[in-house]
Amino acid sequence: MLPHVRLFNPGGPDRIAVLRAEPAWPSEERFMLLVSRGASRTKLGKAVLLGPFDRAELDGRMREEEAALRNEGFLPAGLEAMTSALKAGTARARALAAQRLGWRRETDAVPALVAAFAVAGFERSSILDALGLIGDARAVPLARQEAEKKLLSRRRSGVEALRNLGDTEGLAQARARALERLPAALHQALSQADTPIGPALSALSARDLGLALDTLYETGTERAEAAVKAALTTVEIEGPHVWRYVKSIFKRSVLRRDAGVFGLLAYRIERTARKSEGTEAELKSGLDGVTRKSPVFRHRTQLYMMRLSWRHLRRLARYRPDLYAATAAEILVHYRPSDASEPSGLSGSLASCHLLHQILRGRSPRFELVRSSLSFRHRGKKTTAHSETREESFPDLWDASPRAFVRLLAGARLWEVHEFALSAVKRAHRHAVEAAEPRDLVAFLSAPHEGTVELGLEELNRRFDPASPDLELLTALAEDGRPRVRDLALQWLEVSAPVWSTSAGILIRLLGAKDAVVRDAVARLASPELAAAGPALRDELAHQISRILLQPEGEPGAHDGFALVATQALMPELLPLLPMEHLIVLLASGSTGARSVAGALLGWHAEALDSIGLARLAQLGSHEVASLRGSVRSLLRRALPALMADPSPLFTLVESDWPDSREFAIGLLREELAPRLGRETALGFLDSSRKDVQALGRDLLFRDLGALDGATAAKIVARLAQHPQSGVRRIAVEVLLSRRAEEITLSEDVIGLLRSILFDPKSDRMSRTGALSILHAAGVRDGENARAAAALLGDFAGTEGKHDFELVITSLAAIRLAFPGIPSPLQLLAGEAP
Amino acid sequence: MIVNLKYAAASAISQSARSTHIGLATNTLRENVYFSGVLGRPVLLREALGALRSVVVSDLKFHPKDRPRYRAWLEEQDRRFLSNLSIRSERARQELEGLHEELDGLNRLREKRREAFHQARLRYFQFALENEYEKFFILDPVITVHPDEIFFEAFSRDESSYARLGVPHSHFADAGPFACGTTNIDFSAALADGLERIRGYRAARLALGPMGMAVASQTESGFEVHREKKVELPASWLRGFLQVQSAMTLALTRVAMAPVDLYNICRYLRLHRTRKSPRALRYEMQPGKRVRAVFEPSGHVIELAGIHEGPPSSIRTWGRDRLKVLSRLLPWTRRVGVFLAGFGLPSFYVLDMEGATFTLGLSGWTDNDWTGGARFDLLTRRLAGTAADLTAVYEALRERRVATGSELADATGLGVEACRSAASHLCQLGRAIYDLSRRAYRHRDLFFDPFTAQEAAAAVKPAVAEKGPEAKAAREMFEAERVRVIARRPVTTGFKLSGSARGASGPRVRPLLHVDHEGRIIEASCTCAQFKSHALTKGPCEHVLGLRLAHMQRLEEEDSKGGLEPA
Repeated sequence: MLPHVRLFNPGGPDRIAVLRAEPAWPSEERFMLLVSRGASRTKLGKAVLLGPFDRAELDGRMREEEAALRNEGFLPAGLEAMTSALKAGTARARALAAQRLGWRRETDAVPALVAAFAVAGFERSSILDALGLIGDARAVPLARQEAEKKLLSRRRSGVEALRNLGDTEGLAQARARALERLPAALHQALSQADTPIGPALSALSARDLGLALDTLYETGTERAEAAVKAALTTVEIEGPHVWRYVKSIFKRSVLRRDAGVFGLLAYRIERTARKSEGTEAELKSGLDGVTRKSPVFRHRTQLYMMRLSWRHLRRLARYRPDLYAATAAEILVHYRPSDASEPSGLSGSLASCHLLHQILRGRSPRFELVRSSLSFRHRGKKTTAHSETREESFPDLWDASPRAFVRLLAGARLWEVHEFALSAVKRAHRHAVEAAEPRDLVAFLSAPHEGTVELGLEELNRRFDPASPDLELLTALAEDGRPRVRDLALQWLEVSAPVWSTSAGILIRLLGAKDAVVRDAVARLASPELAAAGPALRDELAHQISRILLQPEGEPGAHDGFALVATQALMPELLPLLPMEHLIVLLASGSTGARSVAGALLGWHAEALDSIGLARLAQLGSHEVASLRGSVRSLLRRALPALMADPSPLFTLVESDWPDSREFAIGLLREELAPRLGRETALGFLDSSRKDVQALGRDLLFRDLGALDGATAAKIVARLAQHPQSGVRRIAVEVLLSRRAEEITLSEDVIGLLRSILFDPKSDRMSRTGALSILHAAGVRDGENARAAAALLGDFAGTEGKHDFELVITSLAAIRLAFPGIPSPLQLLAGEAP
Repeated sequence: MIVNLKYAAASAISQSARSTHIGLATNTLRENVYFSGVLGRPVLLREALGALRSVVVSDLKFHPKDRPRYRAWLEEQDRRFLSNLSIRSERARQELEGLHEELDGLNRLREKRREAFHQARLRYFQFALENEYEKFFILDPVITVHPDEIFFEAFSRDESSYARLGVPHSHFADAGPFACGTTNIDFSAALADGLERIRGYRAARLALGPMGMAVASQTESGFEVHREKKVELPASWLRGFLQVQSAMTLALTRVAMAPVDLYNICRYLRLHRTRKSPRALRYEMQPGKRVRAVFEPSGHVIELAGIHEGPPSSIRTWGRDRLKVLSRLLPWTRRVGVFLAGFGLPSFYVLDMEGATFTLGLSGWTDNDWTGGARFDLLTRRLAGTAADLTAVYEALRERRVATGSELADATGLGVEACRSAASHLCQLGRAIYDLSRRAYRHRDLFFDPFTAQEAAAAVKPAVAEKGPEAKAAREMFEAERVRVIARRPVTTGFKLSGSARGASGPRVRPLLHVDHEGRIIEASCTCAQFKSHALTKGPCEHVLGLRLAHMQRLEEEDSKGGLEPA
């Protein structure tokens, strides 16, 4: 937009002067300056054309010409009228004139405003607001005086004027007074930097909350403003004792040009107005102190506030164009998909979003404003189609502040807003994205618009250099909880591991990431890099990790990443840092990660074996921490000479619930210690309920089976027969079968064994056949055995198994033939044999 | 019902090279029951307690498969169908289908990669479910010490099997002083694992008491608490447990079996898994012939050792897989008695193991738990009795711990019939059990609340004003004189009756009834619709019950005139 200045001289012959820039045809880069003057707006007869100038030169030259005209007695246009209006008959007219002067920041009007303030009535606050906005120090005494008032409207104007005037001393006094007015708990929370303000605010009743929020906002500190903003996102602004203070905060934000709070409140007022009809309540007036029934946040107020918000934006566009786009963006970022409603007729889904429409579609010919509800609707059915032309209000101002698009892309949750910002970025403002802060780009990745996400990824990948990554950005991505961001971080971590793994600080931060996937990836990638790293880095990391592991774990799993790196890459460095006593503490009460490190380190300590002892070490072999079990195994292997003398610690380990420990113990016993293990040990192993241990016992027992005497074999069988598992009973049968027939006596134990085999529906055929052959062999040998065998075979004769039945009958027949006098269920019919 | 259990110590087993100590901790909230003795046959107790544990944790009910993947696929299909509705362009539809195929492929790959994880998670949930279930929903076994034996009782998780292990005192050597009574024992999975380590060559001492294994200290307020649990016992579980007692007092058909017969049954069940229903085990009995066990639907027949001496009959039972829990007891079993209640009704297997007995009670079929529909209490005798009679019989039984009907009659001065009726009542109240092996009643308070006059009064009330719909209708029918006894013939087992009855609605029907001397129904039939549909599986119909009431009135009239001698 080319500059254009109008001046007015109330006393001169030429009352009007206009300074206007025009393009110097045919060039569009150079401009002519036209200075015209005359008796009235339509009679600008005297004109001088200056130039051509380039743009930078033009502004300077224009200022020179304006200064010259002002020396002649010309004043900015409208100043005279507005100064006169300060003496108008109504307070409203005087207040409006003061507001305009304030917006225009007319320093020339300060004396008139000060004079008007002295005799002002209700417009006193407006005049002070204007003086504050103009920023002239002559207003300071007035502002200080007003800042001490009890009446909220006057105190507010006074304090905000002091702020705008930059009167730090007056502002400090006002802040001190404000703090005294705050509830004690809130005051205390505000004065202590490490105490959160939120809980103190939550503890307040609805009646006190509004005033507290306004007072807090009045103090103007960063913490207080953040707390107020956070509270305003949830507080019910339409409440009887809240609304008047919310309105006050709104006005303060307008005076402060606080786009954040203004945007939030403008949005919340509009959103609340869609659902709430307001109420009536008995409220005490701040003006006269009378309690009367007052309407609160009724429809008229709602419409007024919505119009006021848009009016403020328009004035920003006119008087502070540099602030317009940023302020509008702060409003737009609050809209959510939940603000949309079901389209009906000519009303679209966002019809009731007044400010959104005004900002994004304010210039659109497709819509018209319904004044009664401040909603927008299509002018007709033909206008419902999407328009390719720019529809937003003040497009030049948006183009002049492309940073606002970045804010929208990073913060907005509504698809339409993203579409608006994306199209602008793609059209002409790609450089804004290229200049965006990393945290904004990260925020792009959680946008509801796929285009924004793609744009964010594209820009982040463009910036990323694996050889020289932005470590802060990388860490920020890794610490971000969102899956999409995490995936990007993992990609970057993978390709830039040689770089980031050289920084101990970054490594510690990454290993402490909240996301377990990130922690694991960092540990996996860093370990090989650290193996080749210099001793300084390794030492520093080991120191930091040992300190972390000795502290309690903040969240479950927080130590896991550190533990992985420690066990995979830093064991030698950690060894001197974590002596035995520390390891014992960690094993007893450390986190899972710390225990795994301690367990692994145990195997590195030379004195571990002596200080723990073989028996206790064997018990630790069944510990739940795998690395500890691993260390125990390596220590036990080192203690082989001692185990040769006394292998009993391994007997504990063979019964471990952990297969790795069991396999180790069995392997050691089988390969190294077998010659030293006796028969009793073998029987002990056979007594186990674990099949692998039983197999070891069987192998040991069967080494010298042939050398067993009959009595020993009988004892062994008697013991094995007691086992509840069929596998061990089968071994007992094997022992019996290995004996010569004359050595087998069908004792009570043997009969019990054979009975439990035969009557077990799950027993295998080999065991049953073996049992029956034993009965046969023993039964035909002598009378006692025959009696016992015949009784058992008789009980089992009713079996349905054909193979078993045939063996039973054969055996019974053989016994019957050998000992006819022994009772048998089998009767041989004489003379009928073939 | 919430059952509070508190243990001062854990049940556990400790072993040395020569001895084993089995410490069973008892519920300290109940009467102080204790016993100690060296087991004569430790391996037998190990196997029997193992079988008892198998019954406790068994759940053979049909559990439909949980198919999360199938349900997810179904939901995805629905979602796709709905989203496709809005697509108008054929090209877009084809494009979308292509993308869906690609996505499906990727999903399949992902699922394949995560298969191991899913399996592990499933196993974990299964483990957690079973452990939590054990902790909160399984009532620990009930143990009772009597002067002649100690016995353990348990009821399965699926409420379809009841087990009772009775070990006579003669199985213990060096028995110390004992206190009779009933309590619960802490019987965890860990203890069951420990039991497997019992061996015969190590002297095993069983110690039953509040301390279990531990030398726990006793505080001023009582025992220290090692483990406390509140079991939220389903009402059906409790009712089922009590219905077992009712079923045991029915007139049951007895079949004798050799151990090898049960071995053959278990072996057949193991080797032949039948997928087609009905999977019944039918007992065919012909007088003077060996009883035949027929597997349906295969028709495989196993001839049992026992010779049947009663009238010919055929009784079908279902849920035969539950018999597998008896497998591990077969080597120790010397005799097997099978007690059958009738078609689709409960059956009991009593294993005699060198003096110890193991009784397995099975409901009609696995899904038909003891409370699902069958009301065995209706089949048992319903003599009108007073609360005082009930209390007197209870006190007499409590004093003796075990007694037959005649012994109770001697002790109380009541008639044998009245005593049996009262004892039957007590069984239904959880105050007594019927020991099938000894054919006697045993005192056993299932819960610790003392038997009060109020409970006795409440217990006899149903005999006057029936609560069940069939019993109520029968009472109304009887009082309205809509039941007539047409023929009544005394037989050796009791009485056989035929009658005519008409309910509040419906036609007149012809009930036939065979009751024993104690009034318990042995057989019944009726021409009504209910009997045609369900026979006795849901209990007797109102007409049968009405006919029995008419018979009982006739009996009382005859008693007052001097009695009628049975044939």
